[in-house]
Amino acid sequence: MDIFEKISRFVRGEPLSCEQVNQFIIDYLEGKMDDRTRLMFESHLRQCVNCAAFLDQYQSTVHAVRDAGAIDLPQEVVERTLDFLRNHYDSKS
Amino acid sequence: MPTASSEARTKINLDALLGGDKDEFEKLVLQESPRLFRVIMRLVRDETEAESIMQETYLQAFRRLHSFRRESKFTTWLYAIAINLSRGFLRKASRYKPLEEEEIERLQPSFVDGHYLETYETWKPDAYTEREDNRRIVHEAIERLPPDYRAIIVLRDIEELPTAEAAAILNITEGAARVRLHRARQALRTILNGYFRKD
Repeated sequence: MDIFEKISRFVRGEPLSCEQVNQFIIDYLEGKMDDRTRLMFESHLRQCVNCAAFLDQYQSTVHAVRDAGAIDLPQEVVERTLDFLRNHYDSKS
Repeated sequence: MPTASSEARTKINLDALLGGDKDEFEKLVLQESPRLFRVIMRLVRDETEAESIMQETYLQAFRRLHSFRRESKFTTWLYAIAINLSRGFLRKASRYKPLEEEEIERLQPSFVDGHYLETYETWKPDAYTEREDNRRIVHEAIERLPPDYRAIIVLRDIEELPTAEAAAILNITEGAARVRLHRARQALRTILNGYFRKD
């Protein structure tokens, strides 16, 4: 199915395919969907176990990445950075 | 000397900063360094190199203050400098062998007649808890991404910047940022599925 047929089917209000649901995931998670599309998206998820599981894995990936993010900045790095800048502010590049 | 903790929430006077006021610039250094260091570290994965790139980022920013046009947030401009320097390092680092674009494509889900080719099920309940071995797995997965994909993941999913701001830092459109983010997340999902699926 080419892109024009996909858009045409979507405009006619036909149910979303799994592929279309996949393409809307970011819009859905960021709350950037219009109400009609969101209802079609959620309706598909209620009926499609595979898409629901894929979305669950996708969200778990986002959480795993976020939770793995902690890195502390050693205070001495800040002090060395300030020293570095004070030694270079007035030097030519 | 002001400390990171005492000055962390001081409001920066942008006019003074752009006028080359060194005290104001150092307030910015104290305020922004924890996040800037984290972003650079996530990209280059080397503490010594990250420190060096952070210093160079600030120095380049200071020397180019006159070129900041106020068309974006100052920090957006600052992070764009850091990302470009980090990319430059990664291009030269022979030990860094990220996935190629074709491999990223292979890590995307496949469809036949609009349906997924594979079947999926939810991961083990503790798959993304903060256990040390899970963190290591996630970090190694992120490290395999090409720099452009890694950068959007760091900015959007680790630092939780709005997509529009991440796009501005990377100098791409918001639409391009969303496509890249989606592909990066889907590639990570496929890699992590090898570790976190129920067997």
